[in-house]
Amino acid sequence: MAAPFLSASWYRIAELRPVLRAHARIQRQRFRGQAWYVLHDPASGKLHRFSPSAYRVIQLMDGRRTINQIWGEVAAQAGSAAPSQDDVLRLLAQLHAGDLLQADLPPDVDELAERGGKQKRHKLLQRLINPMSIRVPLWDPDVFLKRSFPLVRPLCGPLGLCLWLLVVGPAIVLAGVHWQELTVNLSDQVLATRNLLLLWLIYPLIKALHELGHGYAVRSGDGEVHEMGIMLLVLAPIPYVDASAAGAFRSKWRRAAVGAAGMLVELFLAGLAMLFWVSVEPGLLRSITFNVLLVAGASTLLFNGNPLLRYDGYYILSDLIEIPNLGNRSNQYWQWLAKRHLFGVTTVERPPASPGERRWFVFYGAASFLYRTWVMIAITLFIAGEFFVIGVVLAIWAAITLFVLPVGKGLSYVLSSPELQRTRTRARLLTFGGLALLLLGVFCVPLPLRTHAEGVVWVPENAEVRAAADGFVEHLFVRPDAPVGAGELLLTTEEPGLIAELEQSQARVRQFAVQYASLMFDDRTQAVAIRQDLEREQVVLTRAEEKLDSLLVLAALPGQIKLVRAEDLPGRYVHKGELLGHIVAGPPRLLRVVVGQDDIALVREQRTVVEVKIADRLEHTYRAQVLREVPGGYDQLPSKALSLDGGGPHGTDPRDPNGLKSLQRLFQFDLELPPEVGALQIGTRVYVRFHHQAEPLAEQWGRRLRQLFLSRFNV
Amino acid sequence: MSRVLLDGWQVHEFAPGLYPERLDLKDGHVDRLIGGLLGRWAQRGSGLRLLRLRQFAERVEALAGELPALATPALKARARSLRGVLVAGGLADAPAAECFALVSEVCSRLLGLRHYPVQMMGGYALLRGALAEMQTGEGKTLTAMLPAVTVALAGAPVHVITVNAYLARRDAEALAPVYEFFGLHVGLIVPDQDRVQRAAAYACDVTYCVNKDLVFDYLRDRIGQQRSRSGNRALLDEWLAGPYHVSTRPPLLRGLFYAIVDEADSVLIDEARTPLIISSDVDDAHGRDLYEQALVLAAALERRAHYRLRPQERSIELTDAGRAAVAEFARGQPGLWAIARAREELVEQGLSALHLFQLDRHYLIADGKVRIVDECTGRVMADRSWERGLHQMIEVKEGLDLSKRRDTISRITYQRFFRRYLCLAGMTGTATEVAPEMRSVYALDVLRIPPNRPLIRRHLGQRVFLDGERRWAAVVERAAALRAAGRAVLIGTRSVAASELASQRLSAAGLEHAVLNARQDGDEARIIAQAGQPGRITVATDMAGRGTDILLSPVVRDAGGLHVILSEFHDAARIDRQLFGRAGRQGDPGSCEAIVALDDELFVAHAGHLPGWLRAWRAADGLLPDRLARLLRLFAQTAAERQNSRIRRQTVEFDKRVERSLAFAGRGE
Repeated sequence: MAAPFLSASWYRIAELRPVLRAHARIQRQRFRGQAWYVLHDPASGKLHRFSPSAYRVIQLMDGRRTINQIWGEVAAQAGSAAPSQDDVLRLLAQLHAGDLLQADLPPDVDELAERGGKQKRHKLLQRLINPMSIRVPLWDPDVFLKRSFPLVRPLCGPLGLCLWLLVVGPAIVLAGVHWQELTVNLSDQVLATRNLLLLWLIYPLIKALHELGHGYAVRSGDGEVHEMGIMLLVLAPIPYVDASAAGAFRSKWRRAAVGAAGMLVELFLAGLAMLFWVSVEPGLLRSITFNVLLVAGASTLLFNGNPLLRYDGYYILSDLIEIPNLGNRSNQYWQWLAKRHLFGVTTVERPPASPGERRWFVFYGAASFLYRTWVMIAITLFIAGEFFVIGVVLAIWAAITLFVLPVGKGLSYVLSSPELQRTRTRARLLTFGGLALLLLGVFCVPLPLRTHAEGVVWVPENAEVRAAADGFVEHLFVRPDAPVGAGELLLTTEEPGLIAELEQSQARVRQFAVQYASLMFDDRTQAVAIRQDLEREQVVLTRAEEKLDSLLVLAALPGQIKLVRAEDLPGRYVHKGELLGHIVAGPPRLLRVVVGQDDIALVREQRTVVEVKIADRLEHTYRAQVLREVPGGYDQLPSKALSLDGGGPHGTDPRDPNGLKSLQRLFQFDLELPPEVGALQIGTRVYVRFHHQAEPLAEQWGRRLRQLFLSRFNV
Repeated sequence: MSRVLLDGWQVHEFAPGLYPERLDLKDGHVDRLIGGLLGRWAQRGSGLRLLRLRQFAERVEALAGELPALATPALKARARSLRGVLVAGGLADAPAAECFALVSEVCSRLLGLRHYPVQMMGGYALLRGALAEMQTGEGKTLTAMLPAVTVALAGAPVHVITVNAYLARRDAEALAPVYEFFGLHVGLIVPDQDRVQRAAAYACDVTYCVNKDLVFDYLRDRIGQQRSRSGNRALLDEWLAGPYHVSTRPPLLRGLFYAIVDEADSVLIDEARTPLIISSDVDDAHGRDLYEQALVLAAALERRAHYRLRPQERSIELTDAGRAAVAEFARGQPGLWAIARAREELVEQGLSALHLFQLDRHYLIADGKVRIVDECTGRVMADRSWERGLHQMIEVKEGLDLSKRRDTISRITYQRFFRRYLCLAGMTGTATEVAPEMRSVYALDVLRIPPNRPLIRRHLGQRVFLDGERRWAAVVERAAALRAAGRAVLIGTRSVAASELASQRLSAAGLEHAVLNARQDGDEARIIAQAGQPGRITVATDMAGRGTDILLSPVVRDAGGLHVILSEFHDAARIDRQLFGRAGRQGDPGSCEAIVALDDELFVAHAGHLPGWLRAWRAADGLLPDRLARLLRLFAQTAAERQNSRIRRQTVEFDKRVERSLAFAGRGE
């Protein structure tokens, strides 16, 4: 049902003789091939966009005609496209809300005051509603911009563009050349203490220049800038400027230029910094240039240039594609889509838009919502992790504005909006049915639960040939790669000190034995003491003999001996426990897998099937058997291949020379592959998937959330 | 009127305008939510508040003890001195108690009726601006007189507002001697009075008014005033215009001071669904042809294919195919037909005229004119017409002369109007269900006043027949049996058509009866006066439902009193109770029952598919099992009440939104 042509409230305005307030300025602009009239109110800085037929009404408002006459004239001219009375009413209400209407009635001071107060409250609320960006207006920069503009004027034109290209062009080339140098150890460079201080000093400075860039760009189009201030973006103070006056510019390129000016300034600074960076010696200056490069280059392109967030990129995009207010209108369009197609409401009118605009709305609405949600969650987690109390308060605040309020609004719409009167059953059924299904799915339907881990192909436990004592390798009894039997002597080592020790001990034993024999009958008291010495010395002797035995290295298993650098072995000094080689009994089938502490409980207790993919034959998946959990070794990786440096998932302590000491506590498992795997290289990376009993998503998420809270907040 | 009085009502500022009234409250969603919750919870604490009322009633009783001994002139002297105290000191408890005692004494001397303690309690609740819930037949008329006299003596004009002219006239005439005793004048506002009469009535100390007439008079006053929001500005204009300037028209009312709304739930809730609109006659530019074309086209459209009909919402909507058909018809036609929105609206009005509005149900034809019947009260609403060409469309449909088109000049919602009273009080027999709304919308607390005498009305239960025929048979059978037993019977119907159907059935059965509906409302007083005679059967639309006191003859009282048969359920159970309340008044014996059918409007419109499924029920006696019937009624009435409440809420919301967005155009009415 279309809105009625005649309005029940018409009588209230029919005899009014309104006139547009004198200071309002009107510009004709073209948007996607259609003419629109943009009304700019310099006093409030607001912009209103009107269609030609609405503009016709505004044109006729001269303070002499009544609204009734105006409507009559417009309707007569427009013919079949005549605006309804409600259209006119809405137009007048809009003008009134923008303080642009003057009528032949005395102004209602009460109402004006009330509306003013309401607007103020609304503005304040808008500033505070989003904890991630709180705005504090500080300064009216108009006078400053006006006075200083002559200095900047030459730069706002072809000359400026040439200069910009001259700096930025070479800088890009240089950045490409020095890419390696610039990015190596980036996080260390950025997060070093001294650098953080520099960053804090440089960041606002650059952003202030950025905002001045916007300001001058507005100025160059004869616009005015009346608000500048500080925005607390994720608690970091950043200047902002109100450049809404640019909306009144006729050329879309001019409008886009205002949006881009800030980024152009920053990129220019980054270009300069790049040129300096390559030409100065390491030191404070170089650090500063590096930071400028970082802030003005990288952060600008990532943050400001991204049209999915409401920063410069968004405004440039909406100017270039000629869809003003793209974000809000996308949301409205999505709402309309939901109302019309999901809830079957036929009474809501489609938001006016051309087919091209509609495509943009669909795409932009979805993309920006997903992206914003993701960014919000990430930022919230980040802040919550850094500052616990503020962080959690902020997180709750953000969650309320981002999720609870919209969801609440949506629910109240479904429950009580008059629009849904006819299709409420359907809307409720869909909403609550969908919700119930979702909850059912989340809470009741068990879904597969898996843990992923990485490991390496490993040698069997006793297959390692290690030196049992310090010593020089004396003799090799086997040839490399020769088959050996269990218990077969592989090599001997010698330790000259050990033999001397043994001989000394043997001599002492003999001495005590003789003394004891001679004293046994003469002096029994003395004999007992000697006997004790003898017994002690015999123990020492046994130990020495054992040590001597350990100089012999035996094969623990039958198999083929693989020695590490066999040719170097004879005469080499080996340490106790040093790996000398392996005995390979058939092809290796053992895997050593490293599991992080977050997953250990699951892997230990709720394991069903273990699947393995081997790096050199990814097309096959094998079932493996868990042999045992390796005790100990909680912070040592079995292989460098599993560390971050080696391409694995685990971070290691940079101070550890071996690069094996992990930063997190780890647990290791030995798995056995089935025989059909074939020949494997020891040390090959394997990807392991532990299957667990299926669990509903809620349980899975709950576990992760608890872990997150524990690890982040210690609660 | 003293400052003390205003302070007592917590009035610190008047709304801008020419006479005293309260500022429009700017309440938000939260205010209303809290109001609703308060209204719900206040019921629980009412015992404590009743204690205060009881104490006051005892105080009045104590004061009244000495009065019978006084001679009439002495009583008059007392009343005079009391007036001074009230004017100077406002409505404090002490003078109020004395006033109540005096009124009660004067009543017993002049009318032979003395107030019961519970009426004193009710009167006190009204005096303090609450909504007194008193059982039907507890003498609300007398109760209202207590605060009316007190406030009038304190110097503020009092409006006692009722639902129809019959009640207003009856009360005003019956109570006039008492008011005159106190030196107070009583005015009466009923339909069909001229301006002079009205102005005189509003100039009286106490004015009995019919709600709609009052609101329309208020609207006329507002139109007369300059459309200006600022009262000071208006005064300044007046002053600047000089002493010889003749002000446009003096206002009818003197302001909105104190109102007692009788049958408050009917006025403030049931009738508050639609705003009141004043319109002026305009020559219809389009003329008959346009409407005839639209009607012809509307008649040619097919249901479902071209339009969707929603009887319970009273709405019609064109489908896309329908729109195309209209566009096809309009091709090449000049004027309104060229504008898509205008022509579609025209055709929708035509469809409404054809399908939604039925003769003898929604309107009558009298003297060659369409007369709208009020669905709430079953009365003809004089001088009322539908908006946006619908009225003309119906005239064309009925082949009558075209009346002039009416354009809105002014409109106001009941919700807005009644809140402008400096002090608002109300009374009704049935308010509990709507207490939250009363609290949140009108800031009225509901106080339940205990009955004076225990109710001995017997409720014989309800019977739901599967079809209407058997229902009427059962009604006739019951009426005949009771008539034979010498009792009086009142059969309540919801529409004029139903009352005539009942009459037809009764005649066919050879039962003599009287019919009271919108067609015969001239005889109302006579019919009601006879309704309590033995063997009398009265068929009445809802107009007999509220406030009507059917006096029983002694024979009937001995035979068991009046029996009320409800032939169709209403949208709300409280309206059913109102009709039942005609029996067993003031401790009289009486009985009531409901004999309804599954094809009644309530079930068809609000029970969804249930009646369709239940109709398949095969029962030898054609009855729905009792438990199922109860459930069905509960379901349908809850749904109906919810829908009505939503409509009221939307009315308020819409009103607010318009008010906000059109603030530049001055006050809305």
